Amino acid sequence: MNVFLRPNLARCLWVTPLTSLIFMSLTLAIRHWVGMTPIFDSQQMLTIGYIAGIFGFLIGIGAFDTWFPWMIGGPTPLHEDHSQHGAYSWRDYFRFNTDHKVIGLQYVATTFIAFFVGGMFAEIFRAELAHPGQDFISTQQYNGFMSQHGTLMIFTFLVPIFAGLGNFVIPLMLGAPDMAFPRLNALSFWLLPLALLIFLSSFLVGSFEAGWTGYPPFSTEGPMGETLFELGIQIAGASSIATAVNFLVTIITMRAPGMTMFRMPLLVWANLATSALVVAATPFIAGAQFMTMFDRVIGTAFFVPSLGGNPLAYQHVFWFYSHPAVYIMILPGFGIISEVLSVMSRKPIFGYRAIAFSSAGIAVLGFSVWAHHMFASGMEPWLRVPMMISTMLIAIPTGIKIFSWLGTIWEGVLQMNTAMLFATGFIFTFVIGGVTGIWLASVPFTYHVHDTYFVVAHFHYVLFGGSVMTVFAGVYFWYPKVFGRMLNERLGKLHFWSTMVFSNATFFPMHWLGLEGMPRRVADYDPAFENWNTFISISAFCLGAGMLFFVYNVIHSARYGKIAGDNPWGGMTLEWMVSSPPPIFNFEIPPRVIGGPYRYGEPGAKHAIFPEEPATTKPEPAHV
Amino acid sequence: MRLVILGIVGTVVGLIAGIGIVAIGFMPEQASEQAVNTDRVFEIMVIVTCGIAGLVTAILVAALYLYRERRGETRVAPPVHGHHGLEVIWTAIPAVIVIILTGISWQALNENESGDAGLTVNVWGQQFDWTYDYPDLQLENVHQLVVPVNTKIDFEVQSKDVIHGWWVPAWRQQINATPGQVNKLRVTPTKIGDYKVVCTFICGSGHPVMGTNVQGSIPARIKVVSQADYDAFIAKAQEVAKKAAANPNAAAVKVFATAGCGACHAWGPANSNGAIGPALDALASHPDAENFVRQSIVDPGAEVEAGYPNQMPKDFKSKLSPEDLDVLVKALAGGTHQ
Repeated sequence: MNVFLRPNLARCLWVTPLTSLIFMSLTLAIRHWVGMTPIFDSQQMLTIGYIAGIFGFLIGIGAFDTWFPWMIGGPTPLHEDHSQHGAYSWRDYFRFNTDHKVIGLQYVATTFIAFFVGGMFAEIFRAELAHPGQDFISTQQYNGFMSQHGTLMIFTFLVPIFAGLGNFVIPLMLGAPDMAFPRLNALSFWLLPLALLIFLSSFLVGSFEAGWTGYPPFSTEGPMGETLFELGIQIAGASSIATAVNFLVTIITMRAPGMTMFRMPLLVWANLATSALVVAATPFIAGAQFMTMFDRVIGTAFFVPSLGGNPLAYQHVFWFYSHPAVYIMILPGFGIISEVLSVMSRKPIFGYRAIAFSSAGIAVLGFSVWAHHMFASGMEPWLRVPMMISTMLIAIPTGIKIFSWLGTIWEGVLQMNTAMLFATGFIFTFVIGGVTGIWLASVPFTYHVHDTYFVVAHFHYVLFGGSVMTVFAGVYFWYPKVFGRMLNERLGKLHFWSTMVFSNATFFPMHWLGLEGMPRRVADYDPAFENWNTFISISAFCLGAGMLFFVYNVIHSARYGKIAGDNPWGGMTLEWMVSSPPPIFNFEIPPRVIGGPYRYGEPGAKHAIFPEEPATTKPEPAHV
Repeated sequence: MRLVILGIVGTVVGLIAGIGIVAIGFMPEQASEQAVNTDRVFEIMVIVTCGIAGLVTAILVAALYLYRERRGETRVAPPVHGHHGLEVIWTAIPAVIVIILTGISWQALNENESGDAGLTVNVWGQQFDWTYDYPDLQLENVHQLVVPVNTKIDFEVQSKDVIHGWWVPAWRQQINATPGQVNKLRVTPTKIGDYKVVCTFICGSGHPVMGTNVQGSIPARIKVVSQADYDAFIAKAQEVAKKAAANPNAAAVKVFATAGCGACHAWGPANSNGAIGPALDALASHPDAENFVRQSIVDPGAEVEAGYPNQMPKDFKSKLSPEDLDVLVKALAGGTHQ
């Protein structure tokens, strides 16, 4: 069959524009037929063209090649022969592939592209901010780059990267052959590059300028790119929800024999809590973005004050998702830290159940704190104190985790490799972000620093110093499993130290700027703040340059790294019991779990065995 | 035992560091009662949380130093899975600390907002300037805020277009200006002087210049004056307002000021000197002045004056009533110009 007819990116190249054109022409025809003037409405055309194009792309890539024949009762050969499963050549990574390991890698690669593009945008506007006055880019361009930076980093990097890492690792950790719904899994991945392209393509029609929060009425009045922002979030959100459902079902139903809930690795627990959060919270942002999009495109007035709409309502709905989203972006990272610290300390995790349930506690409490983003928004005044209390309370389960990790490394035998450095460096930076989080929970203090650089410093400490550090810890930890080769330790340590030093140099002075009076999201500022801004910009460039160690290391080691073997770190969980990279169908014989996942320090103890092996230790009692 | 000593040392070092941070002080000038209360909460929080951060850092650094695996070492870690006593302690102590911090924040919040206000001022945010009304004194559209010292003032903050954030760093108080609602903010200024006002919420291409001290700033600095100076200011402002009402362009000037045209345009009758857009004094010389002016207001992108950005808000068509628009167009185009 011709390459343009088989399900792949080449087919997308013509199916996508074709579907767009068909539906745009249909719209024109209908508008002409019912006598609407003008016949061409650019806002409407753009929206319809994009929505049709999204479906066109999914058809092109082959997302429906099994579902369509199945719906009409035809033969579904792809379902029977597993021909969409597994990577036999590099080309299989650019196809609709149902293997969770391929999807995991596709996810991680895509999200890192988003990370580097979003990072470049930050470098561009840091160059502008290095010196007061307008130097390189206009205020509008600044607003565009700033909004794109936040949007890409959150919706196409931090939220999906954990879906990517989890995709690769979690079925292996559970002893499962794949995720519960492999085809849905592939569909959720392919929505992600679409979301990224939708966000980036908004530069062509005037990038969205209202930040990653997109508050109306500024966003409903903004350039056409704002519609694409709203559409992109729908797509990224749909991807996120589909993956979360998949994780929930996989974790609950696909565990190997003997894998009780309390024998699951903590990353699995963290993903369980996160997936529950995603399923419950993400529909709210989808709703909010649909409403702003309808305000723009079809003339509704949900948030248009002159027509009786209420802009504050958007903020409530938005943060009802976006605060839990903060935990969506950090809970899986907590899981990674628990894995890395325990393995690299050669010591059981301290307080397994406390860590597992503090994730659940954060997930539940996380729904009662959203309005702390709105203390100075003019919301109902009585709501401030209850929100302050619940926000302060979140510090408790978070503290439990920090102290439990310290308990884990105390008296351990610490292997100071790059993954461990990132995990311990994470504790240091995350504590700073946590401390300023407590300050920000205090209503009078927030009345001073709301929407200033202090807030920018705070969330970069929790998202960069927190989440991104856990991502790197995870990448250095599982890279040998994914590629069968070790990353270079010397480059890894250079990467760690440059990241650690320059991220603190970049983000710490922002606290002072905020306290002293510099607002956020400004293309220009009071010349009194020049010195620190110049310092921050230089640090940001160094931070970006340090990432080159990582990029080179990842690419070079995939081919030339030291052979890793099945279990380079001496981990006990199931992913370390298969070859590196793992076989295409994971486990030839399903493993049998006989004890907890972190039984380090006990001679001969095992988490699981393959059934033909004689059991060397007696199964552990279930309470551990 | 080693752990306890280490914990104490770390906490003490952290507390000292916190006291050091407070002593250096990173806050701007303290010029209101609210600033005093807020800074007190801030300082307590800094010291307490620096103690906790010190504890964590000390244990982390000590563990990394003491327990890193050394070459040839054959030590085996103890298979400890937890300790209920410790877990209870590190749940209970942080709980007590955050409850105390909540309490002092709540108390400061109440102090900040207690009592009845002696003066109410309406604050209007719009792209890209602030204007102030004194509703009890029949004064409207004042460009520079002047308030008396040591008076409890209620600011009722509103917006004419998108969301803005009204922040006076020296007062430690800010609130958003949200269209369609009135947001209240209490400030009791305690120091005479000039203060900058900053827009904290992204509101468009002029967002940075909607704060004072930035290059090309539009808003005027806020003035806190003695009661006598304040009374003199009000008397003078009322006189000016009376004179303005006698001006043949009075109705147009009012529309001009309410719509915020003066932020970007200079126009003699309104005494405005904005420079982001072209000056409007010579419009009468245009061959088709009335139509040109009307089009430039309702569809500003149609014809953009050379040398100026196409930045004028596109929504005046819906914001101005047809009557107001007529009055403004006639005056600008020279219909009633003397």
